[in-house]
Amino acid sequence: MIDFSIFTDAWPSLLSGFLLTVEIWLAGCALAMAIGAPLGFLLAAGRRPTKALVRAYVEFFRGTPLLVQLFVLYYAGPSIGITLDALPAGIIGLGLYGGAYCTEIVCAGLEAIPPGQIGAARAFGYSRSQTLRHIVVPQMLVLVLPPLVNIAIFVLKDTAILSIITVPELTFQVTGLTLDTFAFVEPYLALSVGYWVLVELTASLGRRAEIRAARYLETSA
Amino acid sequence: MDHSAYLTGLRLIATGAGVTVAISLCAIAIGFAIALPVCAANMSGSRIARLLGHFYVSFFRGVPLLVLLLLIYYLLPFVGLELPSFAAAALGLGVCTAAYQAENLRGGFLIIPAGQREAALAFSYSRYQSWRHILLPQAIRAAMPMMVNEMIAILKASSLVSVVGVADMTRVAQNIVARDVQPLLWYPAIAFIYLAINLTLAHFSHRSVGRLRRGRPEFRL
Amino acid sequence: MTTPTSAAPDREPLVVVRNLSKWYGAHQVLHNVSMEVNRSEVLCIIGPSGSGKSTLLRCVNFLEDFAEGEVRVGGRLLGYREDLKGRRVPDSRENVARVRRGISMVFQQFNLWPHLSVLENVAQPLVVVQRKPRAEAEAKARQVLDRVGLAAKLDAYPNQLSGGQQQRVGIARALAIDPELILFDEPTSALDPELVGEVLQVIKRLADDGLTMVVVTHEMGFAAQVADRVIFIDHGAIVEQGPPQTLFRNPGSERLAQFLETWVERNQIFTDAPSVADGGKVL
Repeated sequence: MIDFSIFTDAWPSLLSGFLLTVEIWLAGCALAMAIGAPLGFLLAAGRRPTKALVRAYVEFFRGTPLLVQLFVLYYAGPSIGITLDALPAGIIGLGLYGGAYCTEIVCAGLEAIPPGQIGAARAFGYSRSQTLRHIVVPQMLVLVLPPLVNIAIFVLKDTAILSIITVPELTFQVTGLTLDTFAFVEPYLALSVGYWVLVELTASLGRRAEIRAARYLETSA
Repeated sequence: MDHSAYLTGLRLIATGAGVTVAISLCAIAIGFAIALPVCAANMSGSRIARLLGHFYVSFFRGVPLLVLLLLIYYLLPFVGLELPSFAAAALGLGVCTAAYQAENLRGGFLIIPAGQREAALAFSYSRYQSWRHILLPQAIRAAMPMMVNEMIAILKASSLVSVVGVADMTRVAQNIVARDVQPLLWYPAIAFIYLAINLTLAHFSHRSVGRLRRGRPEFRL
Repeated sequence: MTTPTSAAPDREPLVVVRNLSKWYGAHQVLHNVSMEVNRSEVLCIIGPSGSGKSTLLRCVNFLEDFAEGEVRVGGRLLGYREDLKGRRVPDSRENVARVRRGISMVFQQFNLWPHLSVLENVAQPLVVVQRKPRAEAEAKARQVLDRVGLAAKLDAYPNQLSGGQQQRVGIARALAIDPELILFDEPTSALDPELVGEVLQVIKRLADDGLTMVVVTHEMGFAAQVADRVIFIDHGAIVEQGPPQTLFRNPGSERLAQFLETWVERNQIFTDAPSVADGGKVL
């Protein structure tokens, strides 16, 4: 029989794990965007060698498993003088990984804006930064929001992988619980449902934001 | 450390790479077999079928793969199914990728013009015949690039099967590092192997897109 | 079936449409339409855009449902049947397919199957629906493709062909099933002007061979030359019908006269073609 009573004693550690998961998630997303926004611009509009470098970064981090990237950072890092605790290593790893995807998305969003839009801004005397701020970014936001929400969801799910390098987030805490109680099915089932609910909540928030951002595309007021 | 140790390590890594590729292929095949009925349910006229299909897609896209692998690994014996860890892990990867494949397939179906179905109807194809001979081949072809992306995602995700004791490439590297303590050698090495396989797949994907444009498929009557 | 098979089935119309009405929401697109298609007849349906002529054609093989009236093919009701209480209910998909089997169709947008070669496009319905052996189906496909002048394109894919060639494949596909009737839904409307001729020529040859066909078309010259009978539809109702000579020379209604007028004007201005009233050659 399925028995959920084992959770009653464990709730403090579960709560701390949950809070840490959320912190890692937000930090990871922020880092990914902080990397993705400028690199996306460089990938779309940079000089050739810059583009090649950014492209290499994107290909490497999208082409290899996050777990292996974390191993390199956390276990191999010290051999070249980068010694990080599990938590910062995890957040940096997650940010670099998500950043590669964000770079690609921002670049695609920029390339999707019709050149005529920029030409029109120039014709009205906008400077480069004014064009960027008032014309390009608002339009791009609508295009990149759905894939970015997707990436945020992937980052949320990937926070679980940090448990493998001993970051005490939610999955780590639940695994600890299973080892204490020798009950496996109930904790992992509850954990699955928990992540699922969190993902669905994020997705529905994202959809609402997308609708708001895309309001100018509606044909009737 | 002498050369023979490196050679042994390389041989082990090669075996692990074989396991990684094998489990990914199994997962894709299992996933496709599940994706077909899930996609059919999502596109069916029955509300209950659609509800179940949506639930499947939502849940298995909402749970972190690591958690799903652990859940299935422990759930199977709980419901009386004793499977080797390779099979359990392949199943876990499979039910996860099925959710994504089902959505890719649905996208493939949705872009088929209405005239295709109509032409089949006008030539007296039964529902099954038009599905089997007209719609499915076109949907699969349209979903092909997304399917290759899914293969890349699964190949990367397969690194997580190490947590349920499958000796894939990542696990093998961990074992070697545990003995020779050269993380800076082995982890980047396997990262590049993953990268090489994925870039090859991506290259194939671009070619298959080209083939699609020329409308040059293999035939079945 | 309710209509008894009479002693001389060949004399009976192949298709009988009775009092057919159809609505899209509150908008009525067909008003009480009745018409017949006789065996070996070439019937052209003409009329302004949005007049309902394509919709009527699509009702004849039940690609569209309709709220009132009936369509009979070879005496058999298509699309609906009467249940035990005498109510009109949709027929099963299998029955619809059975009644429809003798009718094939050529579409405005071709609707060729892009994942199949030219040969496969034509042969597949024979294998899948008629369960013919593959070799026999392919032999038949080669034969009809030769008839539409595409014997050299068997292994090409639809996307590699010109619009005119694609439509000729569409015609070959329709021919291959040995239909009693071919429906043409504006077969040249999606074509570039310079490709219209090759398709009309193929259809004309089929007409000369005595095939039964219903052609919805904007090509008045073609209708004048090929049709045994022309039906003019406007606002979802049949305004008049008759042999093309009568209809085109002496339109019996103001609306047809106007419709022909605009057509003649347009074609004289832009192509300097002789007037249809003279049985003009447009091909």
